[in-house]
Amino acid sequence: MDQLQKKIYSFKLTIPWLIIFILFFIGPTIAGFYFAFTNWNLTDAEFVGLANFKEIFSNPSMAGAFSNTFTFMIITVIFKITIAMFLAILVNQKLKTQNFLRGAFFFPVLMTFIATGVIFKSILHPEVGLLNNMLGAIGLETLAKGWLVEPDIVMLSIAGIDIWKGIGFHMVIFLAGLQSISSEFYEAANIDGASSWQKFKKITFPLLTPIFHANILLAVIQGMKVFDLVLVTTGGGPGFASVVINTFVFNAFSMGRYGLAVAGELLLFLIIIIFTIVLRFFLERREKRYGF
Amino acid sequence: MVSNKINKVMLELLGILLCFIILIPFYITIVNSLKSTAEAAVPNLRLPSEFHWENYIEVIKIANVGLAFLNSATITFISVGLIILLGAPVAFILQRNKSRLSKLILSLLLIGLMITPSIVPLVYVLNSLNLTGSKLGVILIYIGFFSPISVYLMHEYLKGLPAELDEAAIMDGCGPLRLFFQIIFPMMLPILATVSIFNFIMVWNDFMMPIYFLSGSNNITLPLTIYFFQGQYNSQWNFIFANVVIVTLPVLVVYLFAQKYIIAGMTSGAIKG
Repeated sequence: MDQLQKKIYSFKLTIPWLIIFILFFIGPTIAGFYFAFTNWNLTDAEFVGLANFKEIFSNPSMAGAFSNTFTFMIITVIFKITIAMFLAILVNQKLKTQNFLRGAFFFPVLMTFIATGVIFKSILHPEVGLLNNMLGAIGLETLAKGWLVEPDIVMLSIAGIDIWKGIGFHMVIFLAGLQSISSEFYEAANIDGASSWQKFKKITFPLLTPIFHANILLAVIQGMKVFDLVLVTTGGGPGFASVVINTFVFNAFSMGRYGLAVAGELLLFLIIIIFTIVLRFFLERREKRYGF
Repeated sequence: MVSNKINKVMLELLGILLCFIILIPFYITIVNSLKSTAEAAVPNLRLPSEFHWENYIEVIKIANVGLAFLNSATITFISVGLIILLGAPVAFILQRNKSRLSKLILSLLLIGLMITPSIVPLVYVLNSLNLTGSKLGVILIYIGFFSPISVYLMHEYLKGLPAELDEAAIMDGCGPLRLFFQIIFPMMLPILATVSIFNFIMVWNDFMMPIYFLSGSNNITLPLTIYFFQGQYNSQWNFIFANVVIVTLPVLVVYLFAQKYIIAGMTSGAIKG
């Protein structure tokens, strides 16, 4: 068998892929750890220690980038997960429109972020936007706002767009989870005369725990990596009001400050890793409580 | 029983209401893409007074959509094709050959699933390979970034194909290449469909790699046309929306035909990744 393994299942077949994977993924990612500590202009990489990180932390836009990214992540995670869960439960009922609804809720997921951003740029436009015009038409002018131009609310508006686009994705994952719950649980509960809310609280929600957690982790990572949507809707403005970590990285990159850009990337990378580890720890403890 | 029925109707209505909210942005896009520039200056829910289908032709001309379409199609098909063609044998070998080396490659793959890759240092890689600003460079990056999840899913799928199959083929005199491409590869069809369509959507919609690495108007891709076009034609919403429709349409068509596979890719990819 050993001989056979060597001949028939030879690693030669894996070489082309491995080369590309290492050269274009693993290698550059590891190299980033070094370049983050240099003043790098592609030809020379002068070692400068922590200078890039010092610059990032003393950069007024960067403090904003961190808090904006966190705000965005937390809001999108909370809303995407809760809305998606209830949508999944809704379209898991035996409705006549079931298939249509599933398709409709899922459709935004398929769009490129750039298209999504452009559409909402029109809807949220202060003068010609549909949202403000509709608010005006029903006598709520006072609620009309410069959704993407007022520094206080711009991050919330972008989060709203991302929620619209993302709920379908999480809904589908919840749906997969719901369909794996045996109907016997519900039949037994029906015999005991349980109300819908009791069934949700005692059966659906606990049994969805692992799916729930997978969704949270995915949404957290996605939220931290937000980029396209901000770039197309506001470009980080007004001022630095909607700068996020990835647009900061892109700006540094565009200015040819590669060392600084990699340092920003490295920080984001570390934050995501730490987040994931801490979150996993808590979620796993919670799963054990529910007996998974 | 009666209250149950009323409940069902209420749920049905709730669903339809929610679906309207979700679909309004698409409706606005389509309706206003067919208006004159003046009429679309304030995008609203009204149908166009006259249908300006020529907006689409205009946009295809001024936003260089033809070239962008060709570029997007080239990049997407080659990336997806190579992810399958290069990745499937890897999944197969890793599943069948259980040696130390195999474990090492598998753990490398799992690391690839978990970490977020660093983009900026790729400038250096592309420069040294003379691939800066080229489509080939971006294709290779996509293979590197998107294939770990694909190889992983194929690897899981292959657990269901028994090794006795290989043995029978080997008895009949199959060599390593023929064994894989003639016997195993065709049997992987369901997972290949899932993985390709899933990758198709990700690559087609991606904006990050083109904006970082595809300079020059020759290499423009569809998402880039939207980005640049909306910057230039600030308030000509009819054209901007037409552009959005053109870019989204292929994905919609693929979705309608391959719904099952997309959902399968999203769920298994998401839960395992």
